[in-house]
Amino acid sequence: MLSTLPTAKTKTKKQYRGVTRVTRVIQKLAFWVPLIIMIAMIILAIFANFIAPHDPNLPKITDRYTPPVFMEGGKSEYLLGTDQIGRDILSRLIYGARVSLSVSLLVILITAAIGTMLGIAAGYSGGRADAIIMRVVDMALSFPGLLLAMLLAVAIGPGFTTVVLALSILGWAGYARMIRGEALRISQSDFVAQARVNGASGWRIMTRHIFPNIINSLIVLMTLQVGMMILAEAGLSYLGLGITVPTPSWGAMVSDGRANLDNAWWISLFPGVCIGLVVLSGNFLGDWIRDKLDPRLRQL
Amino acid sequence: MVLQVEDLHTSFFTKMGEVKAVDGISFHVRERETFGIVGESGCGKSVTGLSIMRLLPEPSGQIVSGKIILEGKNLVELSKKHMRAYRGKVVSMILQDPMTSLNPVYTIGDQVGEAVRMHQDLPENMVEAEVIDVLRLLRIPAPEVRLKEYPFQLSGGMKQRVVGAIAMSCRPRLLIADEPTTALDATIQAQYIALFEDIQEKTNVAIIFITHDFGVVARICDRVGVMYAGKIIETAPTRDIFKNPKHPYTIALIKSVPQLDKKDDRLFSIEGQPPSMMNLPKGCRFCPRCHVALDICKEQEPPEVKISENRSVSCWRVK
Amino acid sequence: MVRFIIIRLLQCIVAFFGILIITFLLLRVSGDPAALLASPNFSPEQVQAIRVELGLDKSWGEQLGIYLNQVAHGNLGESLLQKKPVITKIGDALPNTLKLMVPSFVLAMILAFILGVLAATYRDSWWDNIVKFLAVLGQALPGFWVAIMAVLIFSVQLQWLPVAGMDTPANYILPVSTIVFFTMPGMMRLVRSTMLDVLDSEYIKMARIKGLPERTVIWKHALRNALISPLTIIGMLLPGVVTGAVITEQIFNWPGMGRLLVEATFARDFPVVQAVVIITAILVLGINLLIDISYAWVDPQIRFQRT
Repeated sequence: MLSTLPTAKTKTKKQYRGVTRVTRVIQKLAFWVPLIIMIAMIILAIFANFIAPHDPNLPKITDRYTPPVFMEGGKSEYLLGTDQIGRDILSRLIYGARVSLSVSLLVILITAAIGTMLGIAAGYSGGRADAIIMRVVDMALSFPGLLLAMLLAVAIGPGFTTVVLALSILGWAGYARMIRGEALRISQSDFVAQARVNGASGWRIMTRHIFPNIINSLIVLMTLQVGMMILAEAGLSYLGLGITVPTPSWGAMVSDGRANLDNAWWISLFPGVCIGLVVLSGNFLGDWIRDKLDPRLRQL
Repeated sequence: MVLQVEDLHTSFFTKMGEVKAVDGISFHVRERETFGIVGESGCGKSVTGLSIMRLLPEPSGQIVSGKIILEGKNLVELSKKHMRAYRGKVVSMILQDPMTSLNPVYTIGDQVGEAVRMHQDLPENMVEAEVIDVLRLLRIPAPEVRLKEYPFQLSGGMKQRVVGAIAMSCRPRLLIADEPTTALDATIQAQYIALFEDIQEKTNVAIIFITHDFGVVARICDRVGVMYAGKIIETAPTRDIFKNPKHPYTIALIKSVPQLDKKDDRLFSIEGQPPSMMNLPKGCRFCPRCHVALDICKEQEPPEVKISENRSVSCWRVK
Repeated sequence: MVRFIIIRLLQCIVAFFGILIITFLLLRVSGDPAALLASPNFSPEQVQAIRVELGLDKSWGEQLGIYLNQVAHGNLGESLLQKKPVITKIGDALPNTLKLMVPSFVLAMILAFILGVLAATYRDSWWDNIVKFLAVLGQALPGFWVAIMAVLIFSVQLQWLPVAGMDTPANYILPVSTIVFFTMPGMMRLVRSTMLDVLDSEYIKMARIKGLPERTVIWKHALRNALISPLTIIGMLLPGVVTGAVITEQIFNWPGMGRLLVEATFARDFPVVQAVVIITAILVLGINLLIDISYAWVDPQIRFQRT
């Protein structure tokens, strides 16, 4: 007495299997391509002086507005063309990687350090200290960093310090919030209770017992921040608050090209593509590391 | 006969391959009868319940073949829309965890009333009376007050009664209870089980009681089907199965129920793990854990043998 | 409930003072505030007048008092460039910003919720994949660059849409799209993931057991629960919205607060920058308060809480 279902169902089965095979290939690509892009960027940033074909800051008025090599009028010495004063865009992009990477790494180190310390302190001690720290965190998270950057730019002038400060002063809050949750969870666990019974000091518990257990989450959060920081730096440079001319930075390069959209769109296009690629790679790698180290953090 | 399930096959199609969660089971439930489905977790008993409700997780879970005949209609062949008209009205279900079975943002009155409005063509001013009526059926104290309350204001036992009220709101013909007492405290558990008998008395509903606990079976079920790795390996009236279990798995399960009157205070437990549903052994599924296995058990699946009017067993040792 | 709102209100006030003090301190760490507040063509007497007004010879505590008193009276100083009270400049710019931001933000949120819910409902369908792809792209590409590329394509090449100004409805299309592009993806992703969690829950199963149509299950039972956690982070989206406003206004030459801020920053017009920051802070805090209240409306558990 076997009644078979309409064939439509069997078809869905096959479709389902087909999709999984495609996703498996995509999953592999989603790891290797970003990794290669990221490594390439780091190498370019470190060895910019050897790799870049031209001096990034040397204008050559006769060659200005040279289009990229694949276009009519392009020259093979300027692969991606030149800008409004004849500087080589490719070389500027390579040097620009330095700015993006150094700002984002520095900011991530500063904010992660501050955020981790405050987060552990809040989560472990609880009570009033916790409440105060978390209120400050809430405020910092809802305060627009750009406004702070503007205030700083007026007060101390635009530049590397302004960007790093503007991103750091508020950036620690995200870390503090997550680390605090983790620290709270861990400080309620049995091995912390045991350590307390054994007479360990608060400092010792925080550094020896809680910190090692949040390292994974911390690493995940830090890698996920790489992309965000590069974007933030680019945004600030675009507005002119960042690294001052003539040092090349991707955000500022997009801004340079704005006035020449009608005759030299490549000045704006390429730096944006660079930012997009690197941020995308950073996010993919971050996702991958999160899935490996700490899948609970899916929501971030 | 309220429900008749014939050779039901339900599978999950996952990335690893097909999981045959329910692999050809047949049983029936009569009016005003409580049929227990017992088994270890993962044996497919909840999937059986969800298959009858046609609420398998999509798109991976699918009924592959078989019939589910409820009140003369084969549910497997119903369109989605028709099936929806059956759900809540003719067949309903109580889920395991009362803490999460109620929507946290709506009041009790709203959630019970919703089911009433859905299936009964009542004028709006009668709905509340009907809701209060069904809350009374589940012996919920002060139903008029409860109406306005939110789930988080109720205790676990009270929540499970509200879930029961939702399930019973249209007086269905069949109620599937999927481990409804597992998440409750022991004392509340007993009250809740008594409630089922009371409801059955009043409404004639047929009940499928899914559980892993033979103790609960003894208290409430008229007949019971023992499930192992996607198959029902023994069906019998509850009295008979305790007195004279046939299948080695059933024997082992009953032995592992703690009994106060026995002197031996050591609990029996079954060695080994149930087989992976991804690659089942060739012969009898229980064979690897069976103490009395024969050679044929490794080679061939035992057929279902009807040993009396109400009993059947799938075991090579039972002829 | 009332107590909950009062506590939040008090917290807002504390936060506001925190911001005032930060701007006050920033003015001082830069060295001579009078120099910062004076334009280069001021006479020494005028600079001296600023000194007296700020009480720079007095202690920091007294200076803070003077400053807070000025802010409380709506005296945010005078623009150094145009010799106009800052407050009138803001009065001109703020409505323009709101005209752009309010519809954009509302549109972005509505789209985020609809697309997120649909993506979760039809999980793993081609539709879901498009939404996921858009979200990934939206979170990786810099908004200012996308806006410029949109100008390049739609205004420069195709000449369909105007580049700048705010006179016709067509002027709104590019700026609004830019802001939607900024704010929507993160929210959409969050709505999708919370919605997936909610759809997986027992009460959704229960709603289906009742025989409710899928429409009711999704848009009544699931959505209201899926609203709770995204609502809490709308507040955290606001910084991004402010950044988006500044950059968008700068690109499309929109005469609002953002452009005012950028111009003032490069002219080192400190009073204007400071005033824009303070006004924006008030707006952000106010919106956060509204969000907290609506959050209580969605989640009954908060409504009934005594704390």
